[in-house]
Amino acid sequence: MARSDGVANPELRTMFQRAQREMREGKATESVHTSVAAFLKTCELCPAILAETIRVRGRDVRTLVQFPRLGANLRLESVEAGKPEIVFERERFATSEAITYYEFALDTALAHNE
Amino acid sequence: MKFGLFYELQLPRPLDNDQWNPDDEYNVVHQALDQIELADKLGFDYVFEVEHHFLEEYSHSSAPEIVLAAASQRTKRIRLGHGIVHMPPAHNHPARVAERIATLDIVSNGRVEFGTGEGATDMELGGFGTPREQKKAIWEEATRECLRMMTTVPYEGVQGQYLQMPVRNVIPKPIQKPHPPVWVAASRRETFMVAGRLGIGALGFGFETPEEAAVRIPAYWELVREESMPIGAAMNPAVATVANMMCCRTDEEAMAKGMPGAQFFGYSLGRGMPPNPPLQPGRNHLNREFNAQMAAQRASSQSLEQEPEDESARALYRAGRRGGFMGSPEFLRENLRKYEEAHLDAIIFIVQCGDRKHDDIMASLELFAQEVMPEFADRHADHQEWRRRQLEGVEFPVNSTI
Repeated sequence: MARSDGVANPELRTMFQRAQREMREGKATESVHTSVAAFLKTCELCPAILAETIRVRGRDVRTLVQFPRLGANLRLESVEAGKPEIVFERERFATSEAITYYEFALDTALAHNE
Repeated sequence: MKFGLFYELQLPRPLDNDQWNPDDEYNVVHQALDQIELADKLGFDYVFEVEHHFLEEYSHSSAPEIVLAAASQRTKRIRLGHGIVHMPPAHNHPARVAERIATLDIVSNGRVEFGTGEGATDMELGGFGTPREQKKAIWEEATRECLRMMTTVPYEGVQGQYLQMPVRNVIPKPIQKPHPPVWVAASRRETFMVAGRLGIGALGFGFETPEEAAVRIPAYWELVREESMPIGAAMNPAVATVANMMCCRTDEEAMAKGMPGAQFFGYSLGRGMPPNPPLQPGRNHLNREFNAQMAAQRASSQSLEQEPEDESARALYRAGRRGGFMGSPEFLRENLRKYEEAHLDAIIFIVQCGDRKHDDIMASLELFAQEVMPEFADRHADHQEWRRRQLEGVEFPVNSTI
């Protein structure tokens, strides 16, 4: 499994450890907010993420279209503008959503571990 | 490694008619029951049946609990899986799910596998009014409460975000205690990780390769051991994957009998999703569209598109291709060994799809059981020992049937 102790940047690593702790303590909403903040921090540390593309059904699209859309949504226009923003559509989140955001954000961070 | 069958109850419209013939739905259901009965006799371990709504031609399995109940009366040993139940209350109220699962468990003498899921397509989510962005949270709350309904007397009720219910004793209770093994449909990596953390079996719909399985399975088991917060009263640590299968004497025969069905499966699965135009209820003829597309591809000698990198798109891409289980017994054995080495618990085979012939499916099952299954059955005790080691230190009750 992806492990937060593999994240090189100390500040970012602390954020993931907090998100994981919140998830395990049943604080899913807090965990989602922390994972999203960690994701934005990763983008700040490695802006190249914003321009990365993957091939989907014959065309190149931004990798970040894969960001989970479970109520904490990444505005794709903001990615194109180089300043990623998350819009929170809901106040409360479930554990499975916290896990999803945590795993996505941690995977992104580990894939750009500089 | 164990083996199962997977049913969508696919029913392409006849090419010479705008609608189905009067006995088409009757035949697809009764032929599936014949296949399940045979599979039980041959030693297959599981049958999983989907729940889908309004997905014409792709799946006519909108009431799997009925088909599984019928199957329970024609079989003795095979385990009867929902693959999966739509858990949003607008599709199925969790109390009704608990009642149906328990009743099926009773009539089958404790053979139910409780697969759960969110619902995926716009046709279904829109049909029942379930908001896409909330479906994961809805699934979680409904599944958690449904399991409580199966295990508590009385059920204390809930005032949740998506489900409100007063105190009631939900009856009957399942035979399997505390409840049947729970699975979740997992087509993306993150959902595998949700499954591991919540102590649920991952029923993989990503058409994973052995190499991908070899990465995901250890990660899943680490979560089970180190991070698990079980959603129910027992864990079902297990990883299964769905794959298309046609076993014949030669690769050529298997391809001829199996590929068109697999291609229709892939086409009809993806047809309702963007960027394709929305489906028009009662108006589309997917089989004609599919045949036209196949003819155009043959005429243009169109080269195959590169495999997509996005997981969801990749699953669609793989669903319509040969994969590792359409061929001779030798071909299947060789590929299955790779999954076995990755410690996959079960492979669930799509056998009925597209215009595949019932007799061909029956013959394929017999050949598979005769020439492929035995060596894996012989080694299954080794896999169970591996599982036992993975679970060392896990104190939560486990009710896997692997």
